[in-house]
Amino acid sequence: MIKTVWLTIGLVAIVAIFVAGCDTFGGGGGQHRASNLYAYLYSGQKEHIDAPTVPVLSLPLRVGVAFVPVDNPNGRNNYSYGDDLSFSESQKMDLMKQISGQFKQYPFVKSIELIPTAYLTPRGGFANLDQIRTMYGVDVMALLSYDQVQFTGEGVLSLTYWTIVGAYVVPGEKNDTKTMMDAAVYDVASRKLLFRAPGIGNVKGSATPINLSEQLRADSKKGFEEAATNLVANLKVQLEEFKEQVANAPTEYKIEYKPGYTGGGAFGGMETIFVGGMGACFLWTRRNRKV
Amino acid sequence: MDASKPQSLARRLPVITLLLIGGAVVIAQFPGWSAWLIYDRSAILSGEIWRMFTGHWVHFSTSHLVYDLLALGVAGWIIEAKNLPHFGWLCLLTPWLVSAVLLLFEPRMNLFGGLSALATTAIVYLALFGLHDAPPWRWVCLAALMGIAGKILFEMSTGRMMFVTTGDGPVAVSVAGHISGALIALLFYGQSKIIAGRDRR
Repeated sequence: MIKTVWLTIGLVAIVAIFVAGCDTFGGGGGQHRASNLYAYLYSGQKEHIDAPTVPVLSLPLRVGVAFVPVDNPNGRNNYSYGDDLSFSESQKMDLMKQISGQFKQYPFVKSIELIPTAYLTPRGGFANLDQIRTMYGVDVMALLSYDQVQFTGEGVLSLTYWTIVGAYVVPGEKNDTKTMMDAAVYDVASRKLLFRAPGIGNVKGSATPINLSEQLRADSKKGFEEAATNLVANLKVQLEEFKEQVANAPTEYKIEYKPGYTGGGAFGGMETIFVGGMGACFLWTRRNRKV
Repeated sequence: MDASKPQSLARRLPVITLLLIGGAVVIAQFPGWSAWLIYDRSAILSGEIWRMFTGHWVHFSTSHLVYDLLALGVAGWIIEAKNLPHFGWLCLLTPWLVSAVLLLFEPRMNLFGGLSALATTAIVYLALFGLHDAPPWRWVCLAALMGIAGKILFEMSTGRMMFVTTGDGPVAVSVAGHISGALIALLFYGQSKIIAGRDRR
């Protein structure tokens, strides 16, 4: 009898451990929200190689800003994909407005179109971008993507975000919210990546089992806000660098001007200093009666 | 060659240069005038031909104005101090000729502004005459000519953009304006030499 009781207790314990283990070792659970740029542009083309082309930038540029659509609801790593309630369309629109504000500061940008995600087809690739280009008359597209993971299980997990330029691996801890945003700016005609800017948000977990879902929702929102702020700051830096690159690397970019452009002559600081030097030299030689 | 008379620099005012600079400064003080004075291709083709001349005195920003005036001011002052021939005619004809070149060769450019084409003309004209002078002025003038040639080549290869805005978009550097300015200086220089040769004979 005692033996049977102990056997029962032992069996219950084993089952309990096994059931618990399914959650603990099977990935820990959590929320994963993602829209993947690589999947949008290059899905089904794992072996793709971009032919080296020189983008022709027809100034002033018309820029389109859009969020890459969410790719696959049955995604990887056993995470359950959220329905993006934590990152609503109005939040996306706010971020797109902030990003368009960065572009507007530059005289080489003529107009900015905020394109709703609904106009982008999941895994649409450059064929879809060509349609957008025709529809909105844009030259350059700023494609925004994001990846957010909330770790609710025990153990150390990681968020791996596959960007166009490489994979980010971010270690996670229980109830942490890790957010990665990415803005990749493409010249649609040449399919060339002009520049990109990342943004990272990291919200430390403070949720308890009682308020877990509410707190996670709040953390998710905060994570997106942090990443967006970081992204906008990085974008500003990248835009400045791009401006310099275009001006100084004529072999990498071909500049054209749209009909009706404005032209002017320009003497820069160097030329003016040289002409000033000519004046000084003239005065000096004049005084020494050599000219 | 130095055609200047032995006068002190202080007594000789560069009248033409001061007029050129003064015009640009006055126009900059009254932004409303720019709409009536700027080189506007469609307006010129509609008969407002004065814009071919006045457009060169309209500038798109303070830095644009300052750089152009410094370059033209120094070159013009030296030209007048050295009493080089036909500077008045050069300043009178260059804007018309440069605008004609822009109308012909820059059909996509609707607006143009700035004295840099005239400044380029003045610098090249001064430097060409300076090649006949004694060193070190001769070397300075040679360097100026090489610098202008390098500047034009750089602009041709890069399609360099001025990062100023007119409210309508960026302002592109008009390479045709600079090339035509340099060629006009060469023509005036050649003609002056021919006339001087005839006078000597």
